[in-house]
Parts: sequence; structure tokens; C-alpha cells
Amino acid sequence: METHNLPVEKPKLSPAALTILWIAKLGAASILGGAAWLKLNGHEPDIRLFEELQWEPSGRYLIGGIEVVAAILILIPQSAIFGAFLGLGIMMGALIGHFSVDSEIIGVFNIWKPLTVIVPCLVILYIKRHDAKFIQNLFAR
Amino acid sequence: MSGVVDLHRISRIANRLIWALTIAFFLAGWKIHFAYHFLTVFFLLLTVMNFFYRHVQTEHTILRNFGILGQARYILESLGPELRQYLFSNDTEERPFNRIERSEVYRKSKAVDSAMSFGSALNYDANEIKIRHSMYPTPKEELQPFRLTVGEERGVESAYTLTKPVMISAMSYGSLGAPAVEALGRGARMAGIPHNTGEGGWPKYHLMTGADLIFQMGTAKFGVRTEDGRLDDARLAELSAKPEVKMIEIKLSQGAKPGKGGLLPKEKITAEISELRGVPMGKDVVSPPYHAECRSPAATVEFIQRVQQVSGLPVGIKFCVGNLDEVRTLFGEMTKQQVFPDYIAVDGGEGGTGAAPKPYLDGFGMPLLPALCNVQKLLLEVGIRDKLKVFSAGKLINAAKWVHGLSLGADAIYSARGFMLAMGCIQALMCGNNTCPVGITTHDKSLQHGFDVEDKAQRVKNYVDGVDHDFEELLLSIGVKDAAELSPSNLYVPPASIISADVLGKS
Ligand SMILES: Cc1cc2nc3c(=O)[nH]c(=O)nc-3n(C[C@H](O)[C@H](O)[C@H](O)COP(=O)(O)O)c2cc1C
Repeated sequence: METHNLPVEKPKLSPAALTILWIAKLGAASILGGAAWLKLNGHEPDIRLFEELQWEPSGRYLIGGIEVVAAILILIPQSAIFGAFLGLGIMMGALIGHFSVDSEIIGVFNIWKPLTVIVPCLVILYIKRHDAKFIQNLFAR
Repeated sequence: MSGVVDLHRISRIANRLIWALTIAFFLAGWKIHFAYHFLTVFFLLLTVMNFFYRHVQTEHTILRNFGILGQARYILESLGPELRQYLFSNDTEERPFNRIERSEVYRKSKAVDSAMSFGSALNYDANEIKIRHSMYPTPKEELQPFRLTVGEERGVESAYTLTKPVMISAMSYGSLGAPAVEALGRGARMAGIPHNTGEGGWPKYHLMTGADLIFQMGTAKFGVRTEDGRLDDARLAELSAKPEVKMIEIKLSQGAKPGKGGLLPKEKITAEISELRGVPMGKDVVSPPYHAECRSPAATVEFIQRVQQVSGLPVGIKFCVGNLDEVRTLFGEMTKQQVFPDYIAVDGGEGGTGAAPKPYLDGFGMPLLPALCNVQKLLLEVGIRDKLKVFSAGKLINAAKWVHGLSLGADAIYSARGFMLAMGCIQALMCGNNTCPVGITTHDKSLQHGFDVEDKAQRVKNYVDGVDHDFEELLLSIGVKDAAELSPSNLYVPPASIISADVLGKS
């Protein structure tokens, strides 16, 4: 035998990329985790929000649950991509929801908070693009 | 992309539908219930992705033209081998081994009856070699047990006697994972056949099984090399002194990549591999395409003699036949120096490997049967056929194939992939990727998990016993008493066969 007997190697991440990746992961996971904590513990503004959406309490628990899952997946290296997609999705939902909810609540439901998750999720996806063919294809030149 | 289904049109519709649905779900989320936004988000992601595929990336034409639906093509393409193997290929279509051939090995290895009903599934009017039976089959009692003593011609004290016609051909630790090596070794010990270590260096894992070993020395001489890649006599002597090591094989070339050495990248050189192979860590190791000592026929024969003297064991050479004149010259040189290897292993160009560049796999090396015919002819011509034994390897995985090899000049059979199949190889063709799904050619612990050494060792033994049993039956039907009596006249070789010119004159 021999020799070309290599698994197809993914490019090794540079120390800088690794650092950024972990900052992004910790950032996204902590914000998702915090948001989930408030939702699941019945934080007053969240209850009001979901009442407004006529989705109290099931929607609050559902979304809170998804946020927990996304935070955990993001922290596990093998599943970070899926976590990032989930986090991205849930916060895009928040952003979109933003446009279809009455204006008084927007104060609580402000536009910046979703972005603090969306941006790190995109960073994770970009850095880990080699782990999934379909994402890699996005960036193929 | 024309025909009944206009895929381009469908993809255009799909590409519009994606953003139309995004808007629709957004409206539904707004006016009906917030939960619709789950779908809004999903389709929004698809829309973004589709945009990237169609307008940003430039590498994949299909994705640019068809968008996200084009991805289906890549998914299907990557599933292609599985789909073909499980759904669409017929029983005689797959390569290197078709389903009929593989199933027989599987049955033998599980000690299940492999009788078939109604008729042969092969193309009987094709140009396949068939075996000639006799009108007067041999009575069972008269059959002589198989015995072949390697090294007897030279009168080596430690001559080695085979009691079965088959041996496990070279597969290194490295190309195989440790559990596979262990199962092969234990199975070989139970079956009473020798196990070739392959060129992977000091045979640590092979030695653990207690099987009789043929130590293979590749061109880089892993395990017995000096720092500059030449033979380290002391190391070889130390290894040869081990009671398990019965013979030494000098690999000049192999059928899967004749004329080519390999490269072991530094990332793969663990502390263990560095020790077993005798190479430094942190540096790529290039196996040269030739032995540093063997740059001419004379030097090659001298090297064979040196290895015989240092090891005190029977010593063989393995090669794939390329240029017949070179083979003739080498044999002539042996006569001149009166030095003969104890055996020659002829590897067919169809041989397997852990990994080799495709042009070498597909395009180099004489196929086994003509190679064997020619080597036999040259040995007779030069007059040294009685000085050595001949082994042969190349898809000889069942009793009929053993008869082919032994009739055309071989004294014993080498099989590598036959034993992989016996251990449950499903021919996923991933030996070089470390991703072998059945845990044979991988070092990935999670893939080795499913590989039960005990069970597979038993299968190796069953396979040997089962095929050997068939083989004895065939000898009876052929009408010979001893495998050594087999000759080309026992084969029916159709005129259009590639070996007809070599054989027909004689039969
Ligand atoms: C996984 C694998 C590893 C191999 N490693 C070696 C090796 O180290 N040295 C060698 O001379 N041949 C090696 N071979 C070639 C086999 O020993 C044998 O010559 C060839 O596969 C033909 O036999 P087969 O058709 O029975 O497999 C290897 C083959 C396979 C499939």
C-alpha cells in the first residue's frame, strides 16, 4: 500500500481564524442562551410580546427551546454549522417579526439584538465553510 | 437537458417559486399567525443561497444555471456509487469484483453453503477460461495433501512448508488498520497459512497474532532501513531471528502501481509509525520507485543473495511484469551468479492497493494470466524453473481461479482482496481516504468500532477452509492426484483469450 492513503484534509485554520471563530461562538451562544433564559423564565416583556403575537405561552417556550438548542450546537465543534444555521434562522425570524408587529412593542424587540447573533453566526459559517459542501459552493470562485 | 422533462424550465420555475413563497409566508406570518415565519425564514435562506449559487459563485456551472435544484445533481452524483451498487448494477457488472464473485467469498467466509441452482449466471459463450474435467475423476482417497517447501532447492535449514495453496498477500499496517491486521493474523494462524506483512515497517501488530509471517521489504525498507534508506543488516537479522518470521520478500514492484514508489506525508507520521518504519518525524517520507541497491540485474541478484545470507530464511522477490526482456536478463543473471531467489511472486497488473494514482492502477502492468504464462516460459527457457517456486496474485479469490493460476505455472496463490472481502469488505472503494465504512482500511476508531476481530478472524479461517475444500474437489474432477500436476492442458482457453497464443500451442 502506502501513502496517498490520506483522508482528504480540510485546510487547517490559522490561530487568528480559530480565535475569531471562538469569539463568535461564545458571543452567539451567550446571547442566544441569555435570550432563552429570559423567555423560559417568563420575563415580563417577553410574555407581553408573545401575548401580542397570540402565541403565549407555547410560542415562547418553543422559541426559547430552539434558542437553547442552537446555543448548545454552536458550542460543539462538530455541530457548530448547524447551530449557526439555527441561530441565524431564529434571529432572522425575530428581525422579520419586527416588521409585522405593532410599533409599541418594538422597543423591547429592538433590531440590534438579532444582529448581535446573526453577525457571529455568519462569521462561524464563513470560517467553517469547508465542513459542508453546500456552503463551500456558495463561496466558490 | 432536453427530452421529456425540461429540467431547465423546472429549475426556472423553482427559482421563482422560492422567492414567491418567501413573500407569501411573510404575509401569512404577518396577517395570520407568527408561526408562519418559520417558513418565511426557511425560504428566505433558500432565496439567499440560490442567489449566491446563481450570481456570485463562478466555479460550478450547473449551480449557476440551475440554482438550488442543481445541488440535487451533486447530491445524486455523490450517492451514485451506492445507488449503482445497491439498485442498478447487475450481478456481473461491478468492478473490480462483481456481486457473484463477492457473494461467493461472503458465503465461504460465513461457512454457508454456496451451491447455486439452475445454471451459471455468467456469459457462457464468452471468451472465458474454463477448466477441463476428466472422464475419470480421481477417487478421493488418492488425493495427495498439498505440500510446498520453499527454500528446499537451496537447502536452507529454515525452509518453509506450505500446507495450503493460499497465502495472505502483502497488506501493510498503515493501509490496513490495526484490528484488520489482527483479524487477518489470527485467522491465518487458525487456518495454518502464512501472512505477508506488507511494506509498512516493523510488523508490531502482525507479530502480536502469532501467525507465520512473510516479512515484506518495500523499496523504502521500512523497519529495516538505515537513515539513508539502504538495508540495515543488523535490523534485518534481528527481525529474521523472530520465530514467527518465516520468509522475507523483496518487493521490486506491485501490480497496482508498477514503477512507482509512494509518499507518506509528515502529517501521517505519528510517533508509532515513525518508530515502526524507522523514519524521522516531521518530514515527508518518499518511497523511491526502486531499491537503492538494485540498479542493475547484477546488483539485484547480489542483493537477493545478501538478504538470503543476512536473514538465513527463504527469500522471494515480488514484481509485476513489464518488459519481458528485462525479466529474461534478470533470470540470465541469476544463472550466471548461480544465485536464485527461493520464490518469485508474480503480481498481475490488476492488483489492488491502499492507494495509487489512477493512471498506474488502470494503465500499467501486464495482467496476471499472460504474465504468469510468460514468466513460466522464460524460466523454462533459461532453464531455472526447478531452482525456485512461483507464487501468483491478482484477483484469485475462488477455487476455479486458484486452478487457473496453478495450471499456468504458479506453485501457490497469494490473495489480498479475497481476504478483505472475507472480513466484510463491501467494495466501497475508499481504502485511501481513511473512511472505510467497514473498519478495515481505516484508523478511525469510530469506524473500527463495528469490526469485531474475533468474528472476522473466524471468517478468514472459514474462507480458507471453504475455498480449499472446493479446490480439492476440483482437483478430483480434473483427474489429478496432486496440485503440482496441474498444467495448461487442464484449461480450456478459447481462441480469443489474451493467453491463447501462450497456451494453445501446448494443450
Ligand atoms: C489494501 C491493500 C494494501 C496493499 N499493500 C501492499 C503492500 O504493502 N505491498 C505489496 O507488495 N502489495 C500490497 N498490496 C497488493 C497485494 O498484495 C496484491 O499483490 C494485489 O492486491 C493483488 O492481489 P489480489 O487481487 O488478491 O488483491 C496491497 C493491496 C491492498 C488491497
